[in-house]
Amino acid sequence: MLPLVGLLIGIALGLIFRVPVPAWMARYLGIALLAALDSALGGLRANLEDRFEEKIFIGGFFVNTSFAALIVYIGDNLGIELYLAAVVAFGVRVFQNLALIRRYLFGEQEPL
Amino acid sequence: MIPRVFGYWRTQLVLALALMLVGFGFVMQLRSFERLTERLESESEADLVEIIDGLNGDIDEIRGELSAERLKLMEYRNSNMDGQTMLTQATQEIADLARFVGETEGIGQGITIEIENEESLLVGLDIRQIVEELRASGAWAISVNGRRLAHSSSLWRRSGTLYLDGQPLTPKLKIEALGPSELLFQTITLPRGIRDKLETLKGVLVTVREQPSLRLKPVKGKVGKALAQPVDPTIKQ
Repeated sequence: MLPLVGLLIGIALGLIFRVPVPAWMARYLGIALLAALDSALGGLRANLEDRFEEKIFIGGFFVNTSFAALIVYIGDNLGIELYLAAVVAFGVRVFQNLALIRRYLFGEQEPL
Repeated sequence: MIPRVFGYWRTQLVLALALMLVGFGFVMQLRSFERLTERLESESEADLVEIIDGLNGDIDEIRGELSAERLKLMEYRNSNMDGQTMLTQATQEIADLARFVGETEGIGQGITIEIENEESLLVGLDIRQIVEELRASGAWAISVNGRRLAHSSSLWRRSGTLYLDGQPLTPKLKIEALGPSELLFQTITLPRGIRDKLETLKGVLVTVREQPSLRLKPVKGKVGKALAQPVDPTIKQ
């Protein structure tokens, strides 16, 4: 429940404080958000599995977010669409984590 | 040892904070895209046509520059130039580029164009046409009302006022261009050319003068060159 409240507070803060994002930064922020979402869902899953470790979560959250943005920057400078790698990797994990969270919450059977 | 209940709330709090950041970032990201869309939506049809026209022009220019660079690369590969000659040439090109993007001061012959625009009828396209004509005729440094044009300069018209790089321009405009003064003068004063076209507008009067010596200050602040290409040396006269 508390994580959901946190998410809502974050959205509310975003609506209240109009922080301008330069157009050039929007690309990096998008990928960083995907990485952050992946980390957050991973944390929720680990919490449901009673395997949550604070240090690993916090470290992963910031490192993944920064590295995702860095990959886009490197890709832009090398002329390679490296951001696709981040999108695929984080995108797949987001859906995997979501599927597992759903199973834990609703007690669904995991297919073998 | 942390009690289990305390550990539970702590975990929840950490996750809540993480999701708060995600939520905040999500809204920021949405807003940044909304602003861009809103800005374009608020433009009139004429402005949008102008923007698209400008973008098409940029694309053509970039394609031209790319072809020129490829040709130059082929020349380098096929030439027998030694390393020192190539280095000297590259250094010269960097200096030309710095001057062309307004990074360094420009001194030399050129022309001044004074435009009376009492009725504020001039639009960004008019100024852009003058700048394009000047550049096509060999102008290697241009300033408008003392503000040096860089490759990233932009013109905007809002409520009858022209803005150059976000700064409003006074109705009386003074354009200074460095380059072959005679050719620049002829380009602007050509019968049925840009001067005649502008003077058909009410209250617009264009005065062009050749100047044996002009000094243009560099662009204020840092000039970004992420997408810039070295200028064609033939542009410099």
